[in-house]
Amino acid sequence: MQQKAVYYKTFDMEMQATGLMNTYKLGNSHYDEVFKRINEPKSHYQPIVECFNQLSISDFERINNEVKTAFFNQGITFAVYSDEKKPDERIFPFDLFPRIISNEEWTKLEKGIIQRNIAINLFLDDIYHKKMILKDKVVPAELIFSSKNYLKEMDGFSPVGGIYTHISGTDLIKHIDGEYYILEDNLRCPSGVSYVLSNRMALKKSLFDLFNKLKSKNVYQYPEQLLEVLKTVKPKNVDVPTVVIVTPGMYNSAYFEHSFLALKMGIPLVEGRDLYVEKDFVYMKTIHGPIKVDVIYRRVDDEFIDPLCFRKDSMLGVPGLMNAYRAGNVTLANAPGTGVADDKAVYHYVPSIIKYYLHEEPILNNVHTYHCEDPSENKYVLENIDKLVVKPVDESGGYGISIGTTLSKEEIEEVKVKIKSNPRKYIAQPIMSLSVHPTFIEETKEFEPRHIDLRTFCLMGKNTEYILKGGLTRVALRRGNLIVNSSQGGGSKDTWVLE
Amino acid sequence: MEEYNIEYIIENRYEKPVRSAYYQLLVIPCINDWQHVKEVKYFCSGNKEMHTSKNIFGFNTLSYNVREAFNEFHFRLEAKVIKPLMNPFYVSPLLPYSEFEMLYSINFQIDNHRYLSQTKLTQLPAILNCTFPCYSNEIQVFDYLLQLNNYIYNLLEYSPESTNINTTVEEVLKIRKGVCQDYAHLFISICRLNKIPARYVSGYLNQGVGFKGTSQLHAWVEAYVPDLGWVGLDATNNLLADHHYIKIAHGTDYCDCSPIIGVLDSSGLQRSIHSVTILNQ
Repeated sequence: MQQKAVYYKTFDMEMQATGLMNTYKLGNSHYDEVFKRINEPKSHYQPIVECFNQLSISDFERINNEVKTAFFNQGITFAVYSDEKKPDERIFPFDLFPRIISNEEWTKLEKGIIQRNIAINLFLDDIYHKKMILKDKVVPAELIFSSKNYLKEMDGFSPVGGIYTHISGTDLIKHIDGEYYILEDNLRCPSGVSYVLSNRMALKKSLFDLFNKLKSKNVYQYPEQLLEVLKTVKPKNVDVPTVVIVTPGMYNSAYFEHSFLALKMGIPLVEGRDLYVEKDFVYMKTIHGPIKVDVIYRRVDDEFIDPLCFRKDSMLGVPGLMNAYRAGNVTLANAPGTGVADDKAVYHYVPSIIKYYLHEEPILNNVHTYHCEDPSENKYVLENIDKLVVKPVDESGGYGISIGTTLSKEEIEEVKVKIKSNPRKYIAQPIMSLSVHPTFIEETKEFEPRHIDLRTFCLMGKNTEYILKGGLTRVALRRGNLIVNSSQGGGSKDTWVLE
Repeated sequence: MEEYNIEYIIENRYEKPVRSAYYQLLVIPCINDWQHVKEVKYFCSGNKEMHTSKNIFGFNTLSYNVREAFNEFHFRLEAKVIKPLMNPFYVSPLLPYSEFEMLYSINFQIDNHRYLSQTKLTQLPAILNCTFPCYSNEIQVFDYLLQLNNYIYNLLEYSPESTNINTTVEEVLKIRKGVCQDYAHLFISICRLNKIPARYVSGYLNQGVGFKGTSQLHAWVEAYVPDLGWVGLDATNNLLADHHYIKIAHGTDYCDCSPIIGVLDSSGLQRSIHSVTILNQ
C-alpha cells in the first residue's frame, strides 16, 4: 500500500514518453492497471507497451479499423432496449489494447471464484431442502422467502448431481488498493462469453507477433468444456444425451451469443415453439420426426420457461417443461430458482455463506453492502445517497442503478422516495473506485484511462469444475462513467492470462 | 361410512380451430386417511391417452397434449369415493401458550414457510377496514379458527358472479361479497398474518345437504393446529370439513389448485361449461 502511495506522488512529473503511449496521462485517483508511473509499465505489460510504442497512430488506426470491419462482417452485435423505441442493434465496441493478468494474480482469482461458486451451489441446495442456514440464522429466512426468485417449484427437488449453477458469471473490479472485489454473482443466464472468444480471434489475427511473444492461456476450449459439463448432468438412464440451447429468439439482446455457442458446440439452437412435452418427456420437432431432448441450456428466464407453471402469457416457453424437469426426464441449465442467490441483498451474506458451508475464509472480498431493509442501515443510506451507489436487488444489466455523485438534488429526492416505498428492493454500496486501463479513444486518437471490470465464467458439472482462463474485461467508454455494461454503452477488451 | 359417486364434466368449445394445446387437470380426488378412492375413470375427446403426473404438492394431475387442430375439448371424470363418518370437533393436545410457542419458533416457521407466506391473491391491504378476531397465547388455535370461520362467514355475502378466479383478498374486503374461493383466501390470509400455517383446498362437496358452493368445485381451507395437524374449515358454510367434503388437492392459493389450466395456440373466443354431480348413495 505504501509503495503505491509513492507511485502516485510521481504522477505529476511530466516525463517524455515515446511512440503511441506518448500522450497517455495517468489518472491520479484510480488504480492504473498498466503503468506504475508515466512511461513505466508494470513488468507484465512491458512487452506490449514496447510493441505499441513502435507503432504510429496511423498504423494503430488501420489495425483498429480492420478489426471493426471484421466484427461488423461477422455480425458480432447486441441489441439495446429503451422504453419507447425498438431494439437498437449495435456493434460491441472492442478495444485493441488487451488487459493482461499475471499468472500469480490469476491463480488467486481462480481459487476465489471456484470457492465462491461451490459455496453458492451448496447454499441453493440447502435453501431448497433442509434450510439449515436459515434455521441457524446465518441468513435471514425472510430475505429468502420474500424473494420473487425463490421458486416453490424447486422446494424439495434435487437436480442431477446437486448442481444448480452450471454456468455462472462472477463480476469483479479492482479498487484503488489494488485488490479485487466481487461486484456481483450472475447465476441466471450470464452472457458475454461469445465476445471473449470473438475478441481473442480478432486480436490474435491483428496482433499476431505480440500474441505469440506473450503466451497467454487459451480460451478456445470453453464451448467444448461447456458441452462436457452439460453432458455430466444428463438425466439417469440416458446414454448419449441430446443437448440443445433454447433461445428466446433473434430479437433477444444476446442472440448472437446463443447462435455462436450452438455453432461452436455443434448442438441445435431452438426456440420454445420447436419443443413440446409429451408424457413428461421433452421432444424437438425436426424434419425427420421428433427427437427426445435430455439436457437444455436455456437462455430464457425462469418466469418464461413454462407458461403452464409461471407466466401464462409467455410465448417463449414450453408448456409442461417443469413437469418433465421435476420428473427427472430433462435437465435444465441453470436450474430454475438460482436467481435467489444472486439477489443483491443476498450478495451481502456470501462471505458468511462461504464460511458456513466450507469452513474457510473467503479468498475474494465483497464490497460492503448496506441493506435498505435494515432500519439503521436505511437511515445511513438515506442520509448519504450522494456518496453511495443504490441498486435494485433484482435487476441485472446495470438497469436502475443510481450513482450518488452524479445525481442532482431532485434526483436524490426521487431515489429517497423509491427506497422508502420498498426498502427490500434496494441495497447501497460505497462508490468503488474501478481501476483504469489505457483505452484507445477514436475521437481524440489517443489512449486515455477508462474504467474497467472483469466478468469471469465458471462452469460446474457433476464432479467437475472449469473456469475460463481470462474473461470479459468490460470498459466504460465515456470518460468518468462507472457503468461498464454493454447495454449502458460499454465496450470490451480481450483478457490475457499469462502462462 | 359414506359412498359418493362423483361426475365432473368439462366442455370447451372454440370459435376458431385450436392448432395445438396442452391441458393440465387437477380433478381426481386424493387418497388420505379420511378418504378412500374406490374407482376412477376419465375420458376425453380425441383419441389420445391422458398422462398422470404428480404436481409440486404431490397430487395427481392429468395432462393432455394435442398437436392437431380441433374445435372442441370434452372431459369427463367418474369417481367413487368412500369416506368414514367424522366428528371434526378436536381437542387440542397442547395448552394455549405451548401452541403459541411452537407457532412462533423459527424452525417451525421455516418448515412451514410455504403456507405462511402471503401470495398475490392473499395479500392483505395495508389498512384493514374491519377488525378480525385476534389470536394470542391465551386462546387455543382450534378455538381461534372456529371464531375466524364464523367471523368470515358473517362478514361476506355469498354472491356468485360478484368475483372471479383472479379476485384478490384486497378486492373482496372492499366489496364484502364473494364465492367459496374468496372465503378461503380471506381465511388463509388472516391465519398467515397470525403465523398459523393455512392452505387452500379444492374438492367436491356433497350436494344432498343444502350447503353453499355445491354447483361447482368447492374450496375450503386447512389450517395447522400444533401437535394435532391440519384441520379443514369451510367459512362459506361456517362448518368444519367432515365426511361431506371430498378433497382433490391443496396448495398456497387457488392458482395451485385450478381444476384445469391450458396453453392453447388459438386466436378465437372460447365457451366453457363445467358441471359437477356428487351423489351420496
